[in-house]
Amino acid sequence: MNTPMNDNAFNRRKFLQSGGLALASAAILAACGKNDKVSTAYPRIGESPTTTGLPEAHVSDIVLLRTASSLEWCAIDAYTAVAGLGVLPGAVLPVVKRFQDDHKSHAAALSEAIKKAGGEPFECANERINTLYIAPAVELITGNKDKGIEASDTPVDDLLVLAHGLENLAAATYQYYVSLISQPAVRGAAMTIGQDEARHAAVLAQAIIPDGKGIAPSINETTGKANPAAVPGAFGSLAAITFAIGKTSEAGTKTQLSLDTPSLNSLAYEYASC
Amino acid sequence: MADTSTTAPPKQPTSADAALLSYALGLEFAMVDIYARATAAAKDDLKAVAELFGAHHRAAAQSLTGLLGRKATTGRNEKFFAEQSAKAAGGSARDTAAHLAGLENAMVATHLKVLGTLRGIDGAALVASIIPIEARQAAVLVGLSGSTALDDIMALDAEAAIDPETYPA
Repeated sequence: MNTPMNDNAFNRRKFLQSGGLALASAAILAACGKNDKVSTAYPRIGESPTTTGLPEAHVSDIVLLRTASSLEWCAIDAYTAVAGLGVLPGAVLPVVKRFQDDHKSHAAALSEAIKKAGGEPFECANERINTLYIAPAVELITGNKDKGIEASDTPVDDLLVLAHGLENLAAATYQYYVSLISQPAVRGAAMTIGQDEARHAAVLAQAIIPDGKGIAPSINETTGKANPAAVPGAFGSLAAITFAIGKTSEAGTKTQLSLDTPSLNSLAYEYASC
Repeated sequence: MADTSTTAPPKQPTSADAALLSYALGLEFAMVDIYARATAAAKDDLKAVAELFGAHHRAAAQSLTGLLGRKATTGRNEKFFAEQSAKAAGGSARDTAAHLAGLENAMVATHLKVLGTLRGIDGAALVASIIPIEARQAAVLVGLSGSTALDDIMALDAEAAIDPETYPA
């Protein structure tokens, strides 16, 4: 049989009820009070550190041109690094120099276009593209003892494959940005550069697979993957660009990498600076 | 400072876009037929290349036709075909490749000019997907013509754009 509860007893339910009332009262008082009277000496429920919001960012023609410029600087820096490794044969160096000069011309043209549109030129490499794509790829070629990455056994081939991938990335970026750019004249200017990148890629594909075998799409019989091709299809592709580089495994394969055109988290927004 | 655009561009081609795209389509049809002649006359490597590149122009023509619908021209640019097809057959492989490279560069220049005028996004995106392939084809054909000079491979003359006054639709 249950014993009737004493009304004056201090039981758990009453404690919670009174405690809840006290907390609610404190919250109301805190809300009504002035902020300068609230102590910040120790953490309190309902308080959080002050945060600074990101600046408002719109994807404008200027932002797209700045991002394209950042890619050009990625290519300029990458070709400098590639030439500096000292592994490329003499016959390839003039090609590297020419392509790097082309990218410098593209960057200069983009800076002019950005200024003409009222924006601030972005004349440095895209840090996110460098971090995500280029640095890991170069490590696979040169090796990194600290990370346990062995150097590639075919560094020259791999450097050409990397350059081919980056040129394809640049060509695809300009093509993709045409659908985002609002001004027809700017679209035309963008693709004037984009078609240059496509020609670079065509030259590199034929250097990787010579004697006319690198013109049309083909499959690597060992890996089953697509070989680089000078003319890979009837239309410029916007799909991810995949290629394999690095130390050849016992199975005869290399590390597969994938590049995508710069998206919202890698654009050179107008608030960003070098 | 924000860009100067105040309204979003249209998705579909405008009437002016359709006229420009239809002109480009007539040139693509002509290129299909020029490559057919080149393929028939060529041998070995150039034959395979001409067949492949002709197929790419056919794909471009089909996509432009699909975009334009009933506004699409159904025939090739006759004057352009008449003036350019003879040189695509009958000469040496190197001469043929050099001629086709010149035509590809002219097509790239024409498409770039068209792209710089189009208002609609769909037409612009399609033309932008055709340009890099025709530029690659030009680069390959320059190589097949016997030149390894990067200046030749990268050469694009905006003045080479095919002129509607010279080659009317």
